[in-house]
Amino acid sequence: MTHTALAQAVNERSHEEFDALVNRYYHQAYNTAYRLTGNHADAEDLLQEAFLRAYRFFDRYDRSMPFINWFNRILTNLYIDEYRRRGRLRTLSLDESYETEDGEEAPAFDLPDLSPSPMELALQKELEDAIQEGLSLLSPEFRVAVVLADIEGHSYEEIAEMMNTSVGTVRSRIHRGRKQLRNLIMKHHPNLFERGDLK
Amino acid sequence: MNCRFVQSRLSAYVDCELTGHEQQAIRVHLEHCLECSQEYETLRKTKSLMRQLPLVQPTTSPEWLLARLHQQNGVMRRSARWSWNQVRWWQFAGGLALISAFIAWDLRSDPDRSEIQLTETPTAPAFVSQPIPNFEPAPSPALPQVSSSLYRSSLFPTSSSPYIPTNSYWIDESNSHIVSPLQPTRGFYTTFGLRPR
Repeated sequence: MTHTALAQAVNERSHEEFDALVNRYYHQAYNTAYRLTGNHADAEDLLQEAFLRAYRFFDRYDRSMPFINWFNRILTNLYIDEYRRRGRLRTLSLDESYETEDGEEAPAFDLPDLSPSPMELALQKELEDAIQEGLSLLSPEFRVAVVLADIEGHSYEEIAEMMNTSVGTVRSRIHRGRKQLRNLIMKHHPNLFERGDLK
Repeated sequence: MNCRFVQSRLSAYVDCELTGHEQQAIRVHLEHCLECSQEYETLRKTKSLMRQLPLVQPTTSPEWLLARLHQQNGVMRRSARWSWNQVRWWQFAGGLALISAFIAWDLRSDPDRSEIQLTETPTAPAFVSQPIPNFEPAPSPALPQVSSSLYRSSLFPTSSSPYIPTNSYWIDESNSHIVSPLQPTRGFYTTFGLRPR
């Protein structure tokens, strides 16, 4: 087998491996992308771009680490870069307020009506919307850290490697992000945090 | 261990990301501190709610994504097909041979032809066609026999080096012929419209 034929065979085998990995992790990666972006259209765009980059640089993938860890590193970095570039969502602190057109001050986190659905909508769906809305109000670094820890279940060390930062920074981001998220959920669903329901 | 120190590490405590000693110390503190204990419970509940979020159903399939990827990658491959990285050795050798053949043909001078026949009368400046006063052109032994009606012009600069032939031109009275006796009238320089200085 010539060198060119050998390289082509390796290339084809690599493509097959990549296709198998996409099929295996697509649903999980889509879930992460959706929790980060908050809607299907942006999640599809983000996912497509992330998989395209993974496809281009697949020869650099170190097989000793799980594919989803390597892919999440691409996905989250891409998300943060895109978030900063587009600047579509503003980042506000929980205590911040803004001035309305009438000159009155309104709290920044006076969330839009989270119950556009009919009354029979299940509490689970409403709670999910509230959490998703709360996630979208976090800064991108906090959101990525919380999603990777609480939804993906990665360790702090893995998250630090994905976000190219220290474990101490990850610990701080998760703690602050989780506290902000708790306050947002507590605001709309205080019953969830009542003493008897904290189980 | 005060409450501020404990509360700054409660999320890490929930995630079991502290050292064994820290985990133990915070556990003991929570048993005796109501405020820190409540803070811990709300953070634990928040994490629990996040973990209960259902897996989102994708609106697209992996097959759709792979088709898009292969399509985009195909476009990139076609656009990069003729990049320098992909030039084969025989393509390079062929190009080199073609350039060599052209240079060999171009440098082949025709010794019988020493004049350039101009199709039109050149519009030279008036002083060029005027004879230079008090100047007797000394016939050089290297010069071919040309008509005596030619006058030497110093239109182009001449070189003082004895090893470089003078770049002088003979222009006849009617301006219909330019004779350059020491320079080949066909070859590399003339083909590319250059004249050596």
